[in-house]
Amino acid sequence: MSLSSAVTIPVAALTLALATLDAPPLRAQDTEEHIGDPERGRVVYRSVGYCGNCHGWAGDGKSGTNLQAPVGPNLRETPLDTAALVEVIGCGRPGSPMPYHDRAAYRDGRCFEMDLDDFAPGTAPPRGKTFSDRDVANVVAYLETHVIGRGEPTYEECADFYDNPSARACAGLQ
Amino acid sequence: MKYHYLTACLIATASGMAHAEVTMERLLAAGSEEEAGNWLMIGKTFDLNRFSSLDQINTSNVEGMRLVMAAPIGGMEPSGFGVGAMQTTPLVDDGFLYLSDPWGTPYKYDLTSETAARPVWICDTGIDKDPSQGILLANRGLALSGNNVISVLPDGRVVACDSDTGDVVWDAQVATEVGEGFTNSPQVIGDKIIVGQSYGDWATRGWIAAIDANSGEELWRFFTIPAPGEAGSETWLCEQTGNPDCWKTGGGAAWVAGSYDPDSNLVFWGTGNPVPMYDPEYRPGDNLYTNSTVALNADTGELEWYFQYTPGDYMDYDEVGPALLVEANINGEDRKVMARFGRNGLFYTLDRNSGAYINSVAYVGNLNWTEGIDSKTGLPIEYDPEADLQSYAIGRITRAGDTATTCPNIQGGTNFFPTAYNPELGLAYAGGIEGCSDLSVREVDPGDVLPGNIFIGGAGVNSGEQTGSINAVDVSTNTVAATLNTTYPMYGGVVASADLLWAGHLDGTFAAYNASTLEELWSMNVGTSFSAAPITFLVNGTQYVAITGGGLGVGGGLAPELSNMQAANMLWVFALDS
Repeated sequence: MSLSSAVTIPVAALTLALATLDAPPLRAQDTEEHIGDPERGRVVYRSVGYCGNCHGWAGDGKSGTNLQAPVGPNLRETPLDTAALVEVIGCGRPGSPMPYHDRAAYRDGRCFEMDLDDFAPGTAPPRGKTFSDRDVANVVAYLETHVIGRGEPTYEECADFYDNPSARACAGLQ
Repeated sequence: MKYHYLTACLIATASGMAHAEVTMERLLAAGSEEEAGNWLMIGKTFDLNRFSSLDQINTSNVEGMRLVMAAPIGGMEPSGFGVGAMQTTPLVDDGFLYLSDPWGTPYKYDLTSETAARPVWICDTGIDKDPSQGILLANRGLALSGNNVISVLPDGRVVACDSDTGDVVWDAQVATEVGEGFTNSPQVIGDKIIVGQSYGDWATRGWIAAIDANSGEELWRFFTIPAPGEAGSETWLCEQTGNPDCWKTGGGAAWVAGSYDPDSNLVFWGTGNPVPMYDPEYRPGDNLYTNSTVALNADTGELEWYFQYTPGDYMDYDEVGPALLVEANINGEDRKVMARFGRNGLFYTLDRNSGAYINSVAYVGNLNWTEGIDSKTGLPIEYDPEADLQSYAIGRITRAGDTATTCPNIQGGTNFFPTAYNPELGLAYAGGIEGCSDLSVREVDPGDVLPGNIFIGGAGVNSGEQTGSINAVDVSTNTVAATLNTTYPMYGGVVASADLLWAGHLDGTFAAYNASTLEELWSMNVGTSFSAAPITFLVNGTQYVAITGGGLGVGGGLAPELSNMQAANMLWVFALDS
């Protein structure tokens, strides 16, 4: 589908779609591909995607965010389900600074059946670090195991995140 | 060829053993004929004029410049905010060059062969290059003290390395609170070293301290944010907010080394923005001594005077940039003045001994945050001494949702960028940014503020395209004498030599300009981004120009089209084609 350059996806509608459990995932993936490795996901979140630049190491949108990056939403309180997380990580979030990480995003119709040229100038999602399908699932597994619904971040979580009990980023939590 | 190399090595070794200690007498004479071939402190001289009288390279022959030596530098390991910026100003003594990498590690290079920059030593400070550390990694230079090379580190230590061997002589943990550390350079004054806590967009409280040059023992400390009851504390209306401790994370970092006037024994340091930078409702009041120049007694740290440029700031207009100490004839009177390019887009001239305002002039092309400066006070004309929250010409930004667009960009104008003054021409120089920023507030509950963490209370994003400029200001007449508009924002320093001005650009271009007209006379693109300042010096009687290059750093955010430029820390040395 080719949309005119003036067409953009309303963010409110997108949010609703992403939060709706019974909305079919826009990407065809079998169930097995959604079973990720949370430990690998932590490494991808930390050192491949640098997700903490916007979401913080804790995913709360404040702990360890980068001065040079926009502040990301608090993932510890996200309403997104597995399919929605996969979609947002893969396709980004049009109308926001959330980048896409799927190597084929906006090239073969898998993301909202859109190409980057379909967006009005300045409204396309930015390109993030490229994740394999497996690593998208791994990051989702990490978020669902260690981040979502976990309350306030702790020193122990921080030390585990960085694999370093004396990480300077954790000093304020001790 | 081999014979010459061996001979050069022997001479270099002998010279390395023999070169004189860097005494206070030598530092005081750093601008003299005897020291003309050296660059003993980051600003060349205590007045930070970054002016060299060397004139072998001049407007008549500069087009014959070429790259003659280069060396890779380490310190590429990233912090939590990415690869550090290469902002160090090298030092040179007797043909040996000293510089620091973004983690503050000192290096010594031997240039005496004039064919290669050969590493002599790397001082192992034992720095933990912790990738979790959420800091803007940078180091703006070293200092020479006796037979020691002094460096300040991002982990809050000050380290002295033996200038002959590179061994650590002493190591002092001067900054001890969570989030504190150093990115600037130390300032050596006799048997003291002045240092400034540098992390100012973080939830910290700024200070400037003096330590003993032989031991690292702390001698005095001046807090740039006064505690309740101290002079200036009345400008922190923390009680109004329900958070009486708001001053404890008030910022005011001193992240660029100051200048020094031996006649008055005053040091002149600049201070950074109040924290959080975009949310004045978190910290109502004028917020002394943020965004100020503070003149401190070098022996005691007592505040002699201060001048606050933008009270109650919400535009991120730190005023840490160098204070040039200049003697100028103003309105028929010879005066000792402090002249500096403000990050807020204005060039200010103050009386050096009293801090009294003399005059100012806008040097950026677009300045909208104030309608002008009060000719008596030097404060913005919108400033209301009775107001808890200032409202400048662009209006307030508020927690209720009011936004604004400020020009210049939140990063300036100039910034930490080293500036220069040519006393023969009476011109002050700076590179800077031309553009604007969109400002908004994001309220943070005091209970959510993480000690030592980044804390900005909103956002300041580029408003449209950002370009750059180099400006020359005539201090005596308070006028912009020449402007060169540049494709990309200028994000590094300048140096003045004879009838030339030198500067590096973000896109990897290093260039020489006519000091009077700013016409480009020579340039070369070497591919590393420049955010440092050049120097010029002699080796075996021949004039050289050196600068360090590296990654884009924060400057890269101003020029998205350069984002594919990769980081590679390098020393570049240029000379005339012989």
